[in-house]
Amino acid sequence: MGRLTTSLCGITLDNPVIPASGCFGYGYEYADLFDINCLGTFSFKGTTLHPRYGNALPRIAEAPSGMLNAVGLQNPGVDAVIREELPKLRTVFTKPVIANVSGFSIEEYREVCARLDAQPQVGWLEVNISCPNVHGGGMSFGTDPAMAAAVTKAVREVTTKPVIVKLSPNVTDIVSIARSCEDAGADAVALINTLLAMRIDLKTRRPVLANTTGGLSGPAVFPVALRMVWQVSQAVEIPVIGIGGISTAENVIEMLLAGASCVEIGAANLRDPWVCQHIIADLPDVMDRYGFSTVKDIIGGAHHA
Amino acid sequence: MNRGFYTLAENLPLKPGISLLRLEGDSSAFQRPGQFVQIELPGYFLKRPFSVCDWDEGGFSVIVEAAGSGTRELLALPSGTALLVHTGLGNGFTPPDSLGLGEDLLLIGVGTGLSPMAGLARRYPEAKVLLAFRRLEDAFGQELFAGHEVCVTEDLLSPLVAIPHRFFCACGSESAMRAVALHDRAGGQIAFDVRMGCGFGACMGGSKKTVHGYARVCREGPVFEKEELLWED
Repeated sequence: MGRLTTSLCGITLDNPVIPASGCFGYGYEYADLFDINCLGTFSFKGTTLHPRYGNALPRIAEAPSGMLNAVGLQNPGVDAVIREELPKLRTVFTKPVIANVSGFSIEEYREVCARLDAQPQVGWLEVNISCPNVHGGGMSFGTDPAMAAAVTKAVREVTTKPVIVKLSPNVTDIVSIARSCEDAGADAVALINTLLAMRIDLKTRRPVLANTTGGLSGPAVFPVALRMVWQVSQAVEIPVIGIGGISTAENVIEMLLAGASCVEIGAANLRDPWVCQHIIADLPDVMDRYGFSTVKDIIGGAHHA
Repeated sequence: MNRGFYTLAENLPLKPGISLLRLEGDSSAFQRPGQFVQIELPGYFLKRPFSVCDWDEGGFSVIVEAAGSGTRELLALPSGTALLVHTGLGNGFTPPDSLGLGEDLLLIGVGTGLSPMAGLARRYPEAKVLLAFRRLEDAFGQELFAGHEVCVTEDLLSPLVAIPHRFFCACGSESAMRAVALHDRAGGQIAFDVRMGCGFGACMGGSKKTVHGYARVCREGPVFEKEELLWED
């Protein structure tokens, strides 16, 4: 056990650094750039039952200290992921991967999870009830405690793998949603997904994104994410994955202090595809600087300091 | 994909608000016109994609238009500024070998989409060039095509019929490329100018529908065969 080791729902991670869904594809693009086995694990692109093209272009916009996206869950569908992406991934990544699942109905979540449950490469199912960029699905399940619980319960019934529920920050009380998911059988919660946002082009006087709105991510959202991880980790017994604007080893430690057991890193990968590798390499020195001997010693430290 | 620091060596204005920038540094990742780079702008989160105009052993050039605050600030940077750049992104133009020196090749640049056509023109000395702009007074860049027959127009469609050619290479906005694809009877290749996130295939920020399924402009593109693209109404 190294000093960076942590665990997520009973599965040991070599380190707490996990590229977030939607920013790491199915891993393959990054495997050309570095050995992705250095990661704790990663969460693959949000996968639905059927192939989805996603939203019209433009899907991307700049924001102060961050970016907006409205990709709209482009993915090849769960069967193509199992048939094509997972075998390709197996050649470059030997660890269990987090399968990120999205849907437009409870039945869809259940079906996709059931198919991915049968895949030995999948270590965890991450149920995304927080995508702000699709209509009639995604976030509409994550903004109501009863709906969040219903999705969690439905997925719980079809898998023996740990179920992580990925939460939306676009709610009045994220703690109540997290508690509902825990009560419905979630093994962990991951937060936050992106914050609903928009930009307007001064030249055209129209929204920059074809979808009008998109999700804000990047360093701009880090303090919001940290606050929510702080609140939720006090309210639930299950592990919390901290996500939102992390781009340095210092940010990782701050998120662990707030109560996260591990972290997911999203937008920073798009800016610098080597960032996770560098953060993992930097962690020991930064831990030394602040007097932490192991990652497990950091987790939740700010709650009882 | 490579990453490195490049030195801004020259800013050659082509018209107000549009310049040819030369960046010096490792050019080993460049293979074909149509490939692009992502340039990091100080103070901005996302890099900005630019089609490579041309390159030599000492560096490369891109055409930058002041489209927003980021590109405006890029154009104002002094020579000598070091910029972080991702290079060798995307697939370039691959006209058929049978085109020889290019007498049957039409190079179509719409707005700043003329950038990769300059690199192609150097490789196909006989190629004809069509530069289209929204209005004639927006025209720029003719000097990049010295020695070529150049048609400058605000009417993109008529010259596609009037200029004889067997193959075309085109670059520009989605709407302009759609018009080229639907009106030019010749075979050809089309490069899209779209907003991107990462530029290396991870974020799905820029995608096109093709007969092979969904393709990423940055990874499978930005150059596509005319025949493989699907156009919606």
